[in-house]
Amino acid sequence: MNSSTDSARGPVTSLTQHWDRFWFSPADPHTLALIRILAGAMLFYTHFVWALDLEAFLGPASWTSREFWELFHAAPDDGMVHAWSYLWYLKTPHALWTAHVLALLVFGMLTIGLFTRVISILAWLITVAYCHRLTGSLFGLDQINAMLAMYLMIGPAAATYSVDQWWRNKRAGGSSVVQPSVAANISIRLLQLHMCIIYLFGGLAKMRGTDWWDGSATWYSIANLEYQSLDMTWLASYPILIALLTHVTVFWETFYCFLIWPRLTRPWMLAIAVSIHGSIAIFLGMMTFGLVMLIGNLAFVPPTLMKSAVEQTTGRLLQFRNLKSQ
Amino acid sequence: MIPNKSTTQFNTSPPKLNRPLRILISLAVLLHLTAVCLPPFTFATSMRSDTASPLALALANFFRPYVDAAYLGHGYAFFAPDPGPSHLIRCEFEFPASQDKTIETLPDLDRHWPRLLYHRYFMLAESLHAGFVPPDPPPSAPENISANAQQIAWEHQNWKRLRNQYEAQMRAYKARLLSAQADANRVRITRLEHLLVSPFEFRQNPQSIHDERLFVPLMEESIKPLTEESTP
Repeated sequence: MNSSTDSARGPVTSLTQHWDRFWFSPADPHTLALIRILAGAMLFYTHFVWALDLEAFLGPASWTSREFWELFHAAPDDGMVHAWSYLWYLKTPHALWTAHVLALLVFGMLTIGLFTRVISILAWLITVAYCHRLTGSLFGLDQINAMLAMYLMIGPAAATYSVDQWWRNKRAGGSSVVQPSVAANISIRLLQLHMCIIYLFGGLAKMRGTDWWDGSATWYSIANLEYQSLDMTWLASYPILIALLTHVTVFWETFYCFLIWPRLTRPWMLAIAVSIHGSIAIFLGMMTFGLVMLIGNLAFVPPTLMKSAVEQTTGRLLQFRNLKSQ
Repeated sequence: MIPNKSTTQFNTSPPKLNRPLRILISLAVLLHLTAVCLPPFTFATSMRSDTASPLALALANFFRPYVDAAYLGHGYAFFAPDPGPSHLIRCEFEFPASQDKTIETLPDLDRHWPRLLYHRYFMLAESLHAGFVPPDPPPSAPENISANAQQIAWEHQNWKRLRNQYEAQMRAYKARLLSAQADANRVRITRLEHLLVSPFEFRQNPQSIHDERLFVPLMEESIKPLTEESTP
């Protein structure tokens, strides 16, 4: 009786330990902090571009009318709308522009890490409010922007590489300590798992198509003139290469959620991520989408590696500046 | 912003969370990840536009308030199931003072810059096309197929909801276009499909990819099946 209870307890205890180690081990915040800088800059740029045609997208006679918006977001069964946006209440150009400039200010503050605890929450609320309001003109970039903003508000995203940290350090007389934290780990873990879910379902959705199986999908992506930003149609002469790129994309997306975890395969998965998203950015006219996916992939770069990479880069930049000043 | 190397130290014995808090966070994490998985799962199980796995739909309904409020309802089907043709919109403005017509196409690389702004207009055109629903209700099931009356009623209701949505989107686009073209009194929107050439066609004639005939106007009307009365 005892031995069977022990053997039953064994796997449960082991599972609990694994779960606790996965979620509740304190982690260094360097990866999260670098993601904050890059995601903050992307959020700033994304919203800066709305400003180039602000009234067409957010004004009273915008592409998305309130009537269409309510019909689009109403739940089919009870008609309830759970999407929300304060932007519907800004009726005058003055109010709209004021709110938009404030939004840009928030994203700028997130990027440099100023008052980050409050600003990160505001950044997420603003991001989601814009996404809800702008139904019809959104794409993958906005989905990933909102995801990054969400997880940045959970962990200590400004524990390092931030104005907040610089200020804390100054007040402590240069003895401020960057603490590993459970919240930093939870943030990164959620981001990692969300990325896995995105790729898994992205891969499964491609498996329902025929072009991803017969090896022609890459051709139909590069031959689409509305997407094309760099002409790669010369690849038509290399059907085997096109097929290889197509198959690698599908298998990489589908198996990302398994192969990104082992230390042996992780660098390969990240290298393919750089190739695929880099190609989307350069050849398919979606620089922002390609980059934001790479920002999401940074969640799998260990903080120690991130820290040494940042230190090496800043060291080289300082060396270069010193050389120039001499 | 970059902290001084000497001040960046690591605490080797960080405080641990107590058990009740860990359980609470674990539950929240599980619920959140379920909410993240459900929209793409529901999308993956929908073989037709109006159906999906009953399990996925039931769970999706339960999580809908959170999923919608947090902007998590995505299929993540980028370039899937197949990278298909693009969709654009052609806007034809009519002016009361003259017989002239002005034609604009959205998106337009020459007018919409930077590329992200172009992509916003591209998505407006794609979303109008994606929401297209024919103006006529779906035909009732033929007598030889046993169709549940409730199912037919539901399909009709669904068609009406989606058609209303499409018409509202079309109205919004027209209002937007007319507000930007103050002199125009009418605008006609045509959805265009830009067909893709196969690698074989391209190898035969590399110029084929730029053929204007690849821009095909799409009909707004339903295609009605020929009946005995309509055949000559």
